[in-house]
Amino acid sequence: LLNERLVIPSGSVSNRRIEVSYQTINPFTEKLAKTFPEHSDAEMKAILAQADETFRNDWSQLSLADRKAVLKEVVRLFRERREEYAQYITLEMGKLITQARGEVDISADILEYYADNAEAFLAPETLTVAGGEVVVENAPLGVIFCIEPWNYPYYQLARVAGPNLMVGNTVIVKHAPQRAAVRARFRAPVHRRRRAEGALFQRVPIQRTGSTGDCRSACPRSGADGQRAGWRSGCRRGGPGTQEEHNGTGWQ
Amino acid sequence: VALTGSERAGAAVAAEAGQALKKSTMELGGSDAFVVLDDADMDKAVEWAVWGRMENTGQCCVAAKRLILQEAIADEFVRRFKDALAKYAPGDPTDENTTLAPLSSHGALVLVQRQIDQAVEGGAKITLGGKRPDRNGFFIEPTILENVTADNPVYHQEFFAPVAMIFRVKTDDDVVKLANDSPYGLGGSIISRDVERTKRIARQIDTGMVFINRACWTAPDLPFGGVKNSGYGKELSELGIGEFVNKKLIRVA
Repeated sequence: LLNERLVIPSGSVSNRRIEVSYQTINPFTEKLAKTFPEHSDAEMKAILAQADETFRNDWSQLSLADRKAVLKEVVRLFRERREEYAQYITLEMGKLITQARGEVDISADILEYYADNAEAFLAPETLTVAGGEVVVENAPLGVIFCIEPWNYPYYQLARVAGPNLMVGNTVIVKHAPQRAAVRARFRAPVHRRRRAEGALFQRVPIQRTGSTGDCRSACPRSGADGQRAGWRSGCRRGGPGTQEEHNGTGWQ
Repeated sequence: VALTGSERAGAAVAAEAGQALKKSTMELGGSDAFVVLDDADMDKAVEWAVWGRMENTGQCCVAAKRLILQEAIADEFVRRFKDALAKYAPGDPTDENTTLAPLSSHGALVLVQRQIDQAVEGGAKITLGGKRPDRNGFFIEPTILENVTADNPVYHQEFFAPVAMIFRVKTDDDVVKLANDSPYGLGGSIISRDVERTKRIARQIDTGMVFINRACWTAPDLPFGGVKNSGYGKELSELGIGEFVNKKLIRVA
């Protein structure tokens, strides 16, 4: 599922500034559900570089039909694994299970909506102008960095991923501090069948204390946007590979 | 850069994105009006207000946070709204029969408890709930605050929890004035039998979305986004796919 270059066991990165674990506390039991280590600067730079590389040489070059096929597969998996995904939401942020199921449903609906309608939305527009033949085309921009909260963990992400993946942009996600399992589930199906797994959809860490360094330097020519730690959001590496090992659900 | 989160996070990230000359969209907080006009269908008004305030345990940017009621229907509405909220009971959120879920974290609970305390210190009256139940889980009782005056510290605050502020007004102009007296403008509601009247009011409210005769909500084909401190840019619908696109002009001589 995960590009092996990015699977870096916790603690093995020499330039890790701080050894911090982020914790998922089940809001109903008040018990610790899971801990996750942070990414290092080096890992983050590798993620940015790969997101840019995938944008340039793979995802943006695909036809709309090919992108649509990938999104449709994600939609199918969302619906197939509805109950499992809903349980993660409830575990991590306490949402009523009936509402969590509804969230999985609307998230799949959003992805499907863009898969089905992007071609019409992105059709070139011919303008009637004073001189010449003029057309306005919709070209992708690059890597989109999104920062999403815990309250609707799948839905918020679907709002960004659906349209941007269909446009041909790649997406890097910085998830909320206590939502790693949800993000891991979202990401896994998007990677499925992708030859450039790992960069189409990445979760990104922002270290809670200290500077992450200027990540823009990781891909100076791209649309990718790095940032320094400067706001309250923490983050963790949810290690999708790790997730699979823990619960054995296995996306392969 | 696309962010959904707090104003604080939004300001920090938008500044950083601006430094790098990257476009951003910001979907931040909200504390919109849920307006009930004097001719409203009370069943509908109460049903949607309850849903709008309680969905996701109140942890929603477009939740019904400020209930603006015209005086003619205010007493009946508040009585029924209170009765409905009082029925919510805390329990295991994985149980399909549970009606009240915990808040998402201990931090969220502490924040709303502090806001309730501030509200009371500022002269507000708790007419329902207000406490953490004596049990496990980060629960807060569904809470109604009345007599929240403009000088109350919580008057302009967003309650990201099942806490409703009740305001009573006379005229349609009063509705508009109070609805706009907020740093936010994301998504609100107006309940009335007179749809033309609601549209007139909707046009005067500085906000991103107004739902008539139901609570504000979302769907793949509805553009979602706000103004003022609620941010900028749209997500979802055809508008949402245009935010991060290079609209490239190609002209042949």
